[in-house]
Amino acid sequence: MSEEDQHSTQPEIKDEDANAPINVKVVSSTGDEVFFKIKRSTKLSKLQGAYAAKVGKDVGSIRFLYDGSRISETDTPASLDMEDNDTIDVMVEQVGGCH
Amino acid sequence: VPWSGYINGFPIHVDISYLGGFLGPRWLSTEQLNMVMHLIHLELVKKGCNDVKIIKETTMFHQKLLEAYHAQRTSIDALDTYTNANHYRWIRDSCQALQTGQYEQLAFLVNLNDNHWVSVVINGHTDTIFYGDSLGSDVDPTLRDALRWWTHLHTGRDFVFEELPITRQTDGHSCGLMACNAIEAWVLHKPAIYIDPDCALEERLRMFVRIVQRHFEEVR
Repeated sequence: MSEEDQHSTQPEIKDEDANAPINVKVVSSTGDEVFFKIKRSTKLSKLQGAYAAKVGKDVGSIRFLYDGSRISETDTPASLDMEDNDTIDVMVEQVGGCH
Repeated sequence: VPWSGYINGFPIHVDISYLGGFLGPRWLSTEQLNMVMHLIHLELVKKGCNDVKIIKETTMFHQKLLEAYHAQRTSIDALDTYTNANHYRWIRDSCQALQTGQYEQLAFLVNLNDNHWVSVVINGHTDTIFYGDSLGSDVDPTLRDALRWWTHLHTGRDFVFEELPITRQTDGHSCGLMACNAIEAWVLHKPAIYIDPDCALEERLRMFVRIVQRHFEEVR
């Protein structure tokens, strides 16, 4: 392959990587795991909805964290710099007052 | 304050309806107490106290910590997982920040049995874990063992427990407020701000005002 050919193929490889799906594990605080394959450019809110449907809960009652930070509506695996086989933590909102 | 939308000025977009919890004798939730803890963080920043870390997602933190503690008790590989896995990184980094001296104290809230909030401040300088319970109970045994395991794992030292000064609640709904207040008074060295148990409802209103002020600081 000539040097010119190598240069011309590089951008294509990057684009492919950007859209390549990655495997993401969603883990609840009880240790239950659900696996998803998701494109790096897809909003994680889609995954959150799918997870909530899978476990039969309202998506509004579940909190999703990646690396200790809350996942926002606009976040994608690419924006969070997620890697293949990364984990998302699922936490349920808690309350307290103590009767 | 608008009737709908999000509360601005906090790391997470919380629906404005959550403000209602501060306007009456209601139990407080993760989202509400995360906002209060963020206000404490902002006070620390304003005063230049950069040796205290208020854990973000404070109430989720202990759930992840307990997950790691339980896992390493039941699986040989779990300690390796804790040490290496990305999803424990934020837990590891917090204690390592104590160990390296980046922070002197870590502060966070813990929810017990999904009905009671208590406060924890870990001092890496004195190897002490301060525990504040507005009901005056002893440290929850599982939490105690988990915190001892975690601090020892990262520092190689044995931490001791001491009581964190906290107002005793005389009602059935103020533990979250008391837990945050205990942390704020402790890390800001302001004993004068401890809540009078007979004025818990006024304190809620004061917290409501602080959150709304923060909201409008960001909106304007």
